[in-house]
Amino acid sequence: MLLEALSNASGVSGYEGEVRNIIKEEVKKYVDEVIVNRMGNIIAHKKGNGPKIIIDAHMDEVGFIITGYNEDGTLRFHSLGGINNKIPPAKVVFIGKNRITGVIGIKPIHLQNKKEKEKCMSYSEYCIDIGANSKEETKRLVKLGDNVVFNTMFSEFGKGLIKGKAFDDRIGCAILIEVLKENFNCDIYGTFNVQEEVGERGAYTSSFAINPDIGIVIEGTVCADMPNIPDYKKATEIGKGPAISIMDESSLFSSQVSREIIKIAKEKNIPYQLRKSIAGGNDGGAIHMSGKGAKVATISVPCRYIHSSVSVASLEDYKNTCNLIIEYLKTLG
Amino acid sequence: MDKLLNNLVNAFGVSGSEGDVRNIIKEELKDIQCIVNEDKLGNLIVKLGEGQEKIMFCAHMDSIGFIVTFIEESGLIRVGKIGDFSSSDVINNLVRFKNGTLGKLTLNKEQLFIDIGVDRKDRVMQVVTEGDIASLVGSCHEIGEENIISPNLDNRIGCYILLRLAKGLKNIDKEVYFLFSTQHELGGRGARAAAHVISPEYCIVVDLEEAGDVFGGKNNIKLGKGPIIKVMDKTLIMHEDIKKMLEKSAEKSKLQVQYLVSNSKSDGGTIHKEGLGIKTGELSIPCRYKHCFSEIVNIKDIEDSIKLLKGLI
Repeated sequence: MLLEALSNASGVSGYEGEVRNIIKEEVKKYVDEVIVNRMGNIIAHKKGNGPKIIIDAHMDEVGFIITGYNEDGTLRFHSLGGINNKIPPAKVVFIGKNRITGVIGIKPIHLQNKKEKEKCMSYSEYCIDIGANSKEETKRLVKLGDNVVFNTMFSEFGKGLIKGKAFDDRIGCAILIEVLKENFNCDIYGTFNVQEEVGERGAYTSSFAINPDIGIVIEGTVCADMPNIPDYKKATEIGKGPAISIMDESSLFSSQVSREIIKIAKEKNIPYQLRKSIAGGNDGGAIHMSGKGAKVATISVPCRYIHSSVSVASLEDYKNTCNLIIEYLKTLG
Repeated sequence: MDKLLNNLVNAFGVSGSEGDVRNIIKEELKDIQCIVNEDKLGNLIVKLGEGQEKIMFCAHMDSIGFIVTFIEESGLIRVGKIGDFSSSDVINNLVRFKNGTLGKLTLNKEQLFIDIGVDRKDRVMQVVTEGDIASLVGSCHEIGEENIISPNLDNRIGCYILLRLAKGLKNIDKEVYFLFSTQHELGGRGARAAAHVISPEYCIVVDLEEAGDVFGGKNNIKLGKGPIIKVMDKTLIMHEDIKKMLEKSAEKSKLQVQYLVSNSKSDGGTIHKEGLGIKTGELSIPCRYKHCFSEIVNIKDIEDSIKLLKGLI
């Protein structure tokens, strides 16, 4: 499936080129016009009548950026987008366009004192080892500002589950492509935006240009269905269908649009769940805060272990999310 | 008690669910000649008069509230906050859902709950579900020396002032816009979109500001001592021209004003950065105990604000 190529591709915020190329090639078969704007967003227009709809997914993923060289030839780095300090140690990464392999090092356990063993280390205590012997050698291979992604490869596992990196939001990109394959009456703009993970920067510009009536955001979202978490904290659960957001820190989602989506889900027997958390944010914030504003809603695929080196999602949820969005769009215009 | 004001404060109007307030305002505008538009975010944009200059007055319709995130097997309803306010200021009071369901708001370890007196989840779900919105409830009274006590005075008072202002306008030689905005309590989200469309030269926001004349008060603002020229807050520095306009009008009508630098947020914060930029400032009305079910505002402050704003047109 296309999601495999999208998940394996590198594309941290500001460096979405590889992902953009895959998507551009794919969507041009299904839409009337493909534009890449100055920020690097892809705007795929499928012309129609009736209301103007943005269907949004973001191309960027969370990763790292190289910030300095150590004397021994290892690299200093920092997160680009929100990656918790607990995530980096003992992971393998790819650096820059040439995908140079690196290992994120950590002080050996026998040298850590009691306090160090218990606490979470900070980025300044980590380094990336690319197997070089000197600062000079490293400087020839890696430039400051080079981007870094995890080396996780996509695969299916378990019963109908998939694992891989960057499901937030390549899973949204893959669904958006599936949606654009269908035909609708309404005027649809598929936007594949850049720089969501650093504050929805790309989405502001594509929305400003389009001025939609409604913006539907497709996301890979937080999922907390682990055994030690009480029910009320389980924002979403895997296998229970697409999650419809009620509110987050960036938007109060249109109850009118959300209700219509839920109505379609019930009519078409598509399972759905509500995203029972008001934390986080997504491109919806930018869509309704640019130009004349818009009504916004979010439909997400629950992804376990999001914003880390590997996420887990359900193929059923993926398919149901595709179906729900397609059925909803068919009712417009 | 003024009937219009009473209707406004009793209307359901939490951020994002401003429909009832909007309807009251629309109804009230029927008597005057104006153009009324509602935009995608639910803002009500009212235009009066013709001319070269464009001036906008803005008051937000929405109030703080609560959104249901989870319903316990026991029937207790977990809610999150809509807006930026202190939980301890609002608890142990009545709240009402949009469908009329009443409940008690309570707090346990930083988690807000609503108890609607139904002790099983499935039966609660027949009246309230996740994503539903609740508002503070209380009654509206006149108390003491020309004071009003009620929930949701923030910012139905602003809406009331704008409506009174609009009704009193005659023979105007400029385009005057009244913006009744949405989602202020979430960071001026509605006002921004409307400002983008209207693109006025001047904007005056009318909102409430905490009065510090109580025990533990944190500023010099006194109830009943006149409207506030809010020089600066977290999101906006009052434009010099607006400040001069307000001061001139106050002087002309011999009105007492107060000055304030505050830590609050204004709709002006998003408005003044839109398009080519908008000269923006806020005239605030002193309010004791802002963001709780018993806010107090003085009637003379309201009347003085109307006089002062009238002087600008």
